[in-house]
Amino acid sequence: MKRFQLKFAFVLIAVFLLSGCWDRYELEERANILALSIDIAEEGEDIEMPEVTHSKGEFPAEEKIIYKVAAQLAVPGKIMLGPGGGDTNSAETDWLLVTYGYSMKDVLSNLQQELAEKIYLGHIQLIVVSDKIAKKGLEDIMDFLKRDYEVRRTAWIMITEGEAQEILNATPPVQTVPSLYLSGTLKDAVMFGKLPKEYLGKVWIDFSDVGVDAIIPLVKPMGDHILVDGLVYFKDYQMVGTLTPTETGAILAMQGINPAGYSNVIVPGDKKGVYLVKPFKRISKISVEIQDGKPKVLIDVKIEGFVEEQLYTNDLSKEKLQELEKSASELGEKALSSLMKRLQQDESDILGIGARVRAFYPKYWNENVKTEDDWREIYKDLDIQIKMDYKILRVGMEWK
Amino acid sequence: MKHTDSISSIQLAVIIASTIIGVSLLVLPRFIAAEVGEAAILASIVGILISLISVIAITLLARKFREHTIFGCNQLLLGKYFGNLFNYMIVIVFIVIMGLEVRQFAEVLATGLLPNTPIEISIFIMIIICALVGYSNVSTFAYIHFFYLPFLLIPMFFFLFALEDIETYHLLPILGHNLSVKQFLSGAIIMTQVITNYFVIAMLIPYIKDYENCVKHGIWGFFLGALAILYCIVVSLGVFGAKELQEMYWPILSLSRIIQIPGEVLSRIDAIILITWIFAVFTTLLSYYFVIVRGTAELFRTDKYSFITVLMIPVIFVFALIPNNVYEIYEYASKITYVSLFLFIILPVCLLVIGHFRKRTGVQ
Repeated sequence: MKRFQLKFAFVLIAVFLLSGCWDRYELEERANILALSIDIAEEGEDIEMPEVTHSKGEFPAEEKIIYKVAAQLAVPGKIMLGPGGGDTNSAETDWLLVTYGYSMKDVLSNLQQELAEKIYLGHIQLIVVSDKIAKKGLEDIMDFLKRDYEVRRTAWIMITEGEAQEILNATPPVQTVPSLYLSGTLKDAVMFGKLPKEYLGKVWIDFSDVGVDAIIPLVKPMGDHILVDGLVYFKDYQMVGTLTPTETGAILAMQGINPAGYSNVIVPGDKKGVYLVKPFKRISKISVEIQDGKPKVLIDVKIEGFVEEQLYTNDLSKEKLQELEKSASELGEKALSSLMKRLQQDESDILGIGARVRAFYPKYWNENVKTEDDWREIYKDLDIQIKMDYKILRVGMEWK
Repeated sequence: MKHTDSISSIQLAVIIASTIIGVSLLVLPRFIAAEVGEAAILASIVGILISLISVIAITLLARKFREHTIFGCNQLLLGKYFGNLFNYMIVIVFIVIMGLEVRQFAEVLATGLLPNTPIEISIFIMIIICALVGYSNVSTFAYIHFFYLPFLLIPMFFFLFALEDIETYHLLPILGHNLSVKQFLSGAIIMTQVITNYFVIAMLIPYIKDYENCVKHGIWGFFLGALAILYCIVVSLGVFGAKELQEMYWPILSLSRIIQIPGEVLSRIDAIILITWIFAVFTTLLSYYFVIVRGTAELFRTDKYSFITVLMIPVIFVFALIPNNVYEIYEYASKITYVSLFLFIILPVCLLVIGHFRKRTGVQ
């Protein structure tokens, strides 16, 4: 009996100590995809598609688009962590593979066919999409990304004009993993107030919301690094236009996001001198009212800034500052109004005015608007007033 | 009947709270939003208030009939045959619910955490863990709940980091769009269905030490659990909005995936939330199993709890494998909860009323 008890105890201990994991899935068995670029394959390209998910020519698409996807893979063991990592060139640590396919999963299946390790999307940092796809609509590529449980909602999505693969070719000399550098560029841009916080998860929310249209960062390849070139704005799932960095700053101001990342060039009323003023605090209030059965929008932006540079003159004083504030407010109002006009023309409601009408005036919405398309019609001729109050508090280390 | 082991009314409260926070936590915001849209918060509050009736009824029952569990009360007040009919129903309903909840748990694991592990293994292991507890000692059962409650509540503070992503226009209008009273109530009932699962306290009545406080503490425990769930609904609705919520399967899981802790101490917290949720599932299933085992034992007038525990493992396992896909699980779950709502809310209230009149006429 005692022997039996001992044996039993041994088995019990073994069960608890020697248990393993069914889903054991070691790092070196994974092909970590760090970045994806999605292009439309041009005609005449040397397209080679293995028959992985379907037989040749039997993909049942309404309009066959061949996606060209470049995947940046981390080579296991090559990435050095810590300060020693500076010695390795980024060309050694990553591996760019190009595959073709009719859909996202089709492409990745084709890619898997070429790889020994199992594709793992859990570390994906960024997804670059070419503007051609964005103009056709992002709906089709989003379903896979949303459905797959490995893809992080905090990954970045960006759009580039031209070939998206160019972005992944950027190999910055300062960091070993290019895609980490690229996603870092965007993250820092958000931190410094140059971009709104529009990562993948946020973009999905904007796409789903009624009365909100999405914005996605626009980037441009610059050889070994990238330029954050403003924003792309959408109408439903389709890209309808781009915003320059200045306009991005204006959008951020209207959203009341701090800190502000862009300085403004301001010419005072008497045309003497040019000033660069940087806002450091912005408060914005988007208020909607229903007047005579029509929504009326007032965007009230309050900005506090400081003078960063004075050019062609040297006469900064209290009076001059007041003049500067006045012309800054006027200039800002004019710029914001024309920007809003453009967005209205393109029927892109990126500030979420429709969502606000829907939230605060549900009765009006249900009687007069009902659907998002109806809202776009109303949004087109919406009366949007912009009020800006620019205050300059500081002038830097110079008295004059 | 004298019992050597007993629980305090605070432990009772803890059992209620940790039972309420359970499997459906992950999916609940989606279902309520799909039914009532932006009115989800108000509907949940109404749902909580409906469920409150059940806590009050059961704890009042506990104060009145100190020596009997709900099974005993049924037999005493409704007559032997009629009462036993309800008793059998309770046990069957709990077996079905437990099967479905184990299955939901395994589906989430298979989708989000362990894609290669067969769900049969996940289901089996969860049932085994619950069975290992052994239901012969009530205070052990209470201590397990007491031990795990902090693990359920503390990780919820991570959702505070999502507060900055909440948009006001996702939460308004508070009454929803073009909702009829019927739609609103069906949204509220979903909330009630999900949180009215603390029926296990009706099995604990003979073991409560301080009957004077059990109503008060029961309500406190109920609000602790219910408000934790409400908080999750508010945050996920505020972040995602009603439309996006309807598109995703497990909103709380997605929510934990967008949260970024400042300073990048942890880059992903979805693993922590999932582990928390596994604890939550465990404590909830523990309560269900308790009702199944103790209920069956009382039906057959035996105290061979371990025997019944082992006997029930394959039964629950089979019920867990019945649904064919994820949609069917939730279809069955919502059907069975209509029966359970009757048993968990209306039955205790009826017993209370009958008990009241019986006392007055002196028939006891």
